[in-house]
Amino acid sequence: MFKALFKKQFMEINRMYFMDNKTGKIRSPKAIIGFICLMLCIFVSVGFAFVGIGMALADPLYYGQIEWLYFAMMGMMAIAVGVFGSVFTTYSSLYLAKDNEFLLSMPIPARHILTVRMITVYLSSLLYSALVWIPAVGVYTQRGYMNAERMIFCIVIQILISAFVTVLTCILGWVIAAIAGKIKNKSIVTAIITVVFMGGYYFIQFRLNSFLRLFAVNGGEIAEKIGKTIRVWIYPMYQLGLAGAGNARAFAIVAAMTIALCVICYAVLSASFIKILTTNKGAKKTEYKEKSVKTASIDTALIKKELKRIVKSPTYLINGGLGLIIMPVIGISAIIKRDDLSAILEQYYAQGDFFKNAIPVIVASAICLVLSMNIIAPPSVSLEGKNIWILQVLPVGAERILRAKRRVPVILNTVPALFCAIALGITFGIDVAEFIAVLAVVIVYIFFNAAFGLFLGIKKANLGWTNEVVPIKQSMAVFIAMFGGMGIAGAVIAGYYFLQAIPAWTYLSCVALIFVPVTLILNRWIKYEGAEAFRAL
Amino acid sequence: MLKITNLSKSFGEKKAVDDLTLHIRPGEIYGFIGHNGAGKTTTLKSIAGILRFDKGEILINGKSIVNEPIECKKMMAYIPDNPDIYDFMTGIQYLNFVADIFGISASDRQARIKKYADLFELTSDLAQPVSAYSHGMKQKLAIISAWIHEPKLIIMDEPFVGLDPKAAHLLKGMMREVCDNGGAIFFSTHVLEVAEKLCDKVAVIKGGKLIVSGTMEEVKGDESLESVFLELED
Repeated sequence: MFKALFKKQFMEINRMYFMDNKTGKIRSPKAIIGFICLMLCIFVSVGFAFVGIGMALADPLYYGQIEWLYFAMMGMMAIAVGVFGSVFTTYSSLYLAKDNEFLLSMPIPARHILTVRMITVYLSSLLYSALVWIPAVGVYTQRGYMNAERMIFCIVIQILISAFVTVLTCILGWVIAAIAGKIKNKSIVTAIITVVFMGGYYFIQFRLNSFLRLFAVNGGEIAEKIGKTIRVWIYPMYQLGLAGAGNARAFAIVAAMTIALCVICYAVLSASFIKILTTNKGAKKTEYKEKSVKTASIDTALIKKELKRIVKSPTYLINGGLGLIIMPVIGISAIIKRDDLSAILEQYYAQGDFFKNAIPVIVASAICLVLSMNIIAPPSVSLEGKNIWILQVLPVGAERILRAKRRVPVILNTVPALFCAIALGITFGIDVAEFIAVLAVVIVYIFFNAAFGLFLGIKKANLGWTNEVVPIKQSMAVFIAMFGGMGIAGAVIAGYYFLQAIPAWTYLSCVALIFVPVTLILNRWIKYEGAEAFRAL
Repeated sequence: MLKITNLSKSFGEKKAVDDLTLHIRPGEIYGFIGHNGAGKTTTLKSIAGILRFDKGEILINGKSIVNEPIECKKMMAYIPDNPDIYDFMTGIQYLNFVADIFGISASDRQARIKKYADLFELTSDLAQPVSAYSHGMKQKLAIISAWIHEPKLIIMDEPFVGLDPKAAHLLKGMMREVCDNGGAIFFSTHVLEVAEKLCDKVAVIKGGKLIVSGTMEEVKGDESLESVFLELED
């Protein structure tokens, strides 16, 4: 029974990556190998960021004979990244899966369902925390500080960190589920909790960067201070650090503590799992009161429908609309911290003209990067799921439906992106011509991002999901749209590095002009071939 | 009203519908019966414009569902066997969404929503999210949304499944009312007693092929529809 459940869970994941949605058959070996290579490339490129941090910390801490601090700090980062990456899927994976009722109706103990779901969460935690821990161990090995005993400990610690991350995300998911069971507007509360959590994560990341800068200047003193704080306030992390450095006693303590935590977490969750799944008592029935109706045009009705779907789904709201929050935050922060930023910029300006000239390009590229995080259009086709029949029987053309799906990200992105651009333009003192070019790139990119996302959404449509996390987070369309968009944003800066003889405003105008025909081609494809593909779904 | 000529649809090697020809005239309630997998849903989905067919022609009031899908869809409504309705909307939001797509005026939609929601005793639940609805409530909502634009042709796949006896009785009355006003209804059912009492005409499909069709008297004669159906199935 457990094996069958486990198989079902993995079939769902495999379906997304290794199965052709149209034929229902396993993809060709070439396609699977290509996908694995792509995943590895992304894994390696993200991991490189942590290689840099590891390089900055490894030598001073090794020679300062406080190796435990290296492993403690990298371990904390691994935990933070693991929780950040997994927490959004945990709640919906554990408690909101569409096949919950079906599984509960079968003679399967609830704890088996929970166990299988927790294994999925564990794998997600493993993947994300490994993004930090593997580079951390790799750097230490490359430096020649690793021995066999430490290596074995570090491998096991990766497993333990993933387990600890699973416990943390499950607890958070449990809290959200417990609150959501008692409130009416679940999506908003979930979104707020998530945003608070993310704010905390970014705050830590920001502090970490500040710490690394300080550490480069005054490593010994800082290390001592941090080490003392960890020893006093987060003693388990001290033990984790010691374990990573090869202390067998600490390793045993960490392993025992993690296992104990897992057992307690599992016991608590399995005791309340069925109750949470079967409880829906908190929401008070809203009585319908007849009031005057506002009619809407077909296009408005379709757009309103898309917006409702976003607002009512915390998973979609957070994953699709992350940049919508980040852009105003960047803009406001830039205005508030204007003097500090100016001081930092002056230091860079002193090093040469490139940085000064590149500021408009960096601003435009940064906004494009954040816009790439707004994955609204890519999952919108797959999210129709079993409801697809509604749009198919209504007297509205597929091209019109797709146009609404394309317009929604444009509507949502425009104001925050322009606000961010204006705020950064003022903060960095970008001149008028450059500023107009920045705005042109941002505006054109908003349209490109929507068209590119929808193009991928149609191409990689999958209506057969049982959990909305699948189309929102685990689909190839989302994957390519986000990382492809980020890659394009990066290419904008890289291009300027090679073409720095050209004034920034000219370069940005050319970039905008390149995006225009590409966007028009994508829009044309959506209108004709895309509509045809949508009708055939 | 609905003219199906030589309709064929295959899924890979399997012929789901094979050369089906049917003509449904205004004022007719046409029942469509057959065992599971006989090709009923495939036929109904093809008529509704959800499924592309390989061969044949489907005309709704003289317009082809292939060439003029929007015009055809404006004249008809479709209720699937499993009413999967947007669970991120409330009942009233869904009805307003459908009404907006059909361009129903505010006064007309209000009157129709009130009429049918009151009939099905769904009014007090209209502000509830669809996710909180039972299967029967979703079925009622799907029926109201189908009736909201006063279609001339209604296609229904197992419409009585999940309905309580009162709602089923109401639906039968509403179906008759549509046909009395010059509309037509084509629906599939496994409840042969309902088909026998309600339908003016009936078609029996087996393995994608039409076995028999005609008025109820022509098809069953003096026997019950059930015994005729079972004989035909054998």
